[in-house]
Amino acid sequence: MPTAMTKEKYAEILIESAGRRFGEERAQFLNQAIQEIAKSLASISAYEIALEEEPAFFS
Amino acid sequence: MERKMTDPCMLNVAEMIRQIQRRKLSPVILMESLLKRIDLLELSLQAWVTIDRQRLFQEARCCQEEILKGKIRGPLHGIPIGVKDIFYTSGMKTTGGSKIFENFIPNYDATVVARLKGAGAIVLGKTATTEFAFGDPAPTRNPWNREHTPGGSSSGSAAAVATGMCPAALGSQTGGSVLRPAAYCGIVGFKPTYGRISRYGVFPLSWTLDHVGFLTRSVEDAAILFGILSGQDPADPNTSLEPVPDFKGSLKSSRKPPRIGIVREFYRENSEEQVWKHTAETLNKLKRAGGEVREVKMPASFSAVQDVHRIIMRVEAAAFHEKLFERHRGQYRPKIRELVEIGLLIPGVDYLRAQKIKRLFRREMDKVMEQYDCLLTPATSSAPPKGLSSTGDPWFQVPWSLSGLPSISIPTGLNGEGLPLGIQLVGEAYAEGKLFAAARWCEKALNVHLSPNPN
Repeated sequence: MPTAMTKEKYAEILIESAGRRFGEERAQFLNQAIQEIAKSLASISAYEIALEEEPAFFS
Repeated sequence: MERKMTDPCMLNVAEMIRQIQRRKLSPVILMESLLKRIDLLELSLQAWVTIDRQRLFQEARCCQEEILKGKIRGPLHGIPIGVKDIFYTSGMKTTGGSKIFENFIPNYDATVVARLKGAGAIVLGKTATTEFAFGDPAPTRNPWNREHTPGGSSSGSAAAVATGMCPAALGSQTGGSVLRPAAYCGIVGFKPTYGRISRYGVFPLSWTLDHVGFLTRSVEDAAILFGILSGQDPADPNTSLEPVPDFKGSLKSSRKPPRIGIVREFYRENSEEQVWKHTAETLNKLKRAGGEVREVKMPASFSAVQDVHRIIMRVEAAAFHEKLFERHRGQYRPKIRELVEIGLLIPGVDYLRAQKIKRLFRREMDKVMEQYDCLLTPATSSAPPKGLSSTGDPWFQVPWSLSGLPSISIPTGLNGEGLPLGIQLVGEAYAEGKLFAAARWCEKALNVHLSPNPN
């Protein structure tokens, strides 16, 4: 299985992306929300799921 | 002033149908009663965005004349229904709770609005919603205590139904936006299996999570509306081809005690003590009435539900709002603005992983549901919280919005401060009839009828 991304790594990527997209000031403002979503992203990144599983969309 | 329970405005949909069709109640008298109730309460509760009185009286008179000629358009002939302000209404303002759409008048009806009208209903008006059905609150107040939130996003619908300003109202749920406000206001909230009711002509928040639902004062009324509003719609390709049975008829099987699965995982640790104690007492009443209650072992994927929901909703909201947001960024209120901005940052691969887990969760839940007629949880983690800056905690509904399984909340009593508490029942996919039967059985066994007195 590939290594899961950490919350810190996700947060780093998202803050950088937010800075580019919305400006540094807004990126800082979004920091708490970014930390929360980074935690969720890291959590599902670590979730083991079968390779053949397909996304649901409209089940 | 204490209102009389026999006022037409306080009748349930089922009773309105009976009385109107037997010519015991005139749609004009009913309309006058509802508008009088609105006049009394609207200033303090702020449940409505748009009400066009002139049109309402014209429509009520028209319905009355048709009845006298023996013409009944459908089962809801002459019955006024509230419509959350995210549903398109032809010729009537549809703001989505947003400044951006404050003057938007659609030129067509959402499919559900068209179906209501086709069944003879009168659109009483548009009810207040949080901005784009997310977290920035509407001005609506809780009829049990105006210092408390009525919940959201279907805030106006819940307050209006709870107080007799309308007998039923449309709502929508992406996280907890129907069942939570219903529970906070002491009424019934229902959302069906994903895909059962068309979302055409409804402002989307998150396409794969959005459900149309409704708020009523009884389980029977929810079953009546569901029978009228459900079914395939060519305009919404995600509506199901599953047949639509007689949902009201399914209530007849409510004499048999259901097999109830109590979900402790997540719900126990996240409920306030008073809520869990109340739920335990409610369960004991149901057991004494003959209900078969067992503890549910939730599947492994349940642990990922909140994270998966958070990711999917943000990405899909961002995808819908992206272009609008570029042009009107300054007009977005803080919570929806943040939702869109965070969604724009989430990588596509992670969104798809979330959708994979969503599918797995549904499959695992389908297996769990084979053993029960319904699952039971507290409807909310607390009674309606004090303050109007938040609409409360949606997380108790999130697993069922994510899985797409049908769910219904029913009131079960008041806490020490006189605020409503309720339970949430969850059913098998496409088995809403079985869920209604279980909910009706619980409703009868508990015999709780809440009615605020906000005058």
